[in-house]
Amino acid sequence: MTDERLRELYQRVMARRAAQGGDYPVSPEEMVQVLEGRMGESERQRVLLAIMSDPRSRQEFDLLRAVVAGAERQSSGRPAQATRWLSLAAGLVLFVGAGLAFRVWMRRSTVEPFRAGSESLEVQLLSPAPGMGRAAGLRFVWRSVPRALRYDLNLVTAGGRLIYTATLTDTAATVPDSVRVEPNADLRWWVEATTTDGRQTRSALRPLTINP
Amino acid sequence: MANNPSLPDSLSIELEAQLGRYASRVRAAAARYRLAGAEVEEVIQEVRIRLWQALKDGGNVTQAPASYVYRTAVSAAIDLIRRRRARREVDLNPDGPSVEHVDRAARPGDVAAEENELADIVNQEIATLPKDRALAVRLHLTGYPREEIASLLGWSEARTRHLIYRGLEQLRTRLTARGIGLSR
Repeated sequence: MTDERLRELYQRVMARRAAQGGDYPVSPEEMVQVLEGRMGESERQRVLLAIMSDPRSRQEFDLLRAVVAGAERQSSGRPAQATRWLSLAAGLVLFVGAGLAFRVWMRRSTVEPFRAGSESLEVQLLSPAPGMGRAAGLRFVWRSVPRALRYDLNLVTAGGRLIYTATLTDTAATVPDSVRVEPNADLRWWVEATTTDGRQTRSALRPLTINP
Repeated sequence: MANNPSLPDSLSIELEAQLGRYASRVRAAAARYRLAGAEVEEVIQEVRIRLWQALKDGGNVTQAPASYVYRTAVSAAIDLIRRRRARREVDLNPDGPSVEHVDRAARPGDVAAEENELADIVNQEIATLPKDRALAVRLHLTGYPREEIASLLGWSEARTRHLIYRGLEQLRTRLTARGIGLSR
């Protein structure tokens, strides 16, 4: 069977699957993490496999691919490339034993906006810890970010459906009782900070399962 | 650097230039990926609105304009996707045609049914491949270029080529074992 024939059959099954609907296997944030190289290999494979098995997710992924591709040439490297570059640089510095000088130099090199400069401002999530939480009085807390103008809290299902979102100046938020959170729901939450100089930085995505 | 928050309908020159360059690159990428132009334009328009808003609110977005434009675009695209997902959920009409109904209507006869069955078998067999081969094969059959598969997965060009080749070979062997051979 030729590649073309396999491709034709594969696209046929994907087209039928697209019509079936159902929950989304991957959130758009996870897609961006894959595209920006901010995900470990095993997790990246899992997420990509889920995207490729769901044609609706693949269409979304392609849109994000284009959006991320637009940044590639203005930046000298995406985070994954930056990580490799930093590893190489770190090894070199260890080799010559110039750790202190390297740290100073590193700090200067983090001006580039898509690299460690934005990571150093990453929002640190405090609670709830990864794992189980209770639906009643569900409260989220995170560490403040220097010069933060506002924080956007987002709570979504593992499939990416938005459960709750809030824009705050505080570093904590309690989900109102009016927001219905299903028992055993597999959720993800994160916080995005916008600083007074216009930068936006996100926390890592944190899993949360609601106790029955 | 020009930055006039009192004129919300006018971006700073630097921001406008950054947005223009960024939009060109995104449009070029979208054309390569055969995306509908409308959704890309929707994202770019949303970025423009958010930049106006940020300038109006007094945010000093011109300090790192390239980064700001990019981050705003990612955020706008994520929001667009989320809105669409929400709309699709709302649009799910219980009185509408069921998947079974649609499927049956689409079949002109036994040929289509047979093709569907064959396509399902191909999909099932891909799912039984080792994870990395299955992923390489799915990306390949979806139409992703080899270089991009390598880039997405952080694999070398040689490893990517090997996994696609081995994956397709294994898939064909399994299909042949099920009686689906070269003639189809």
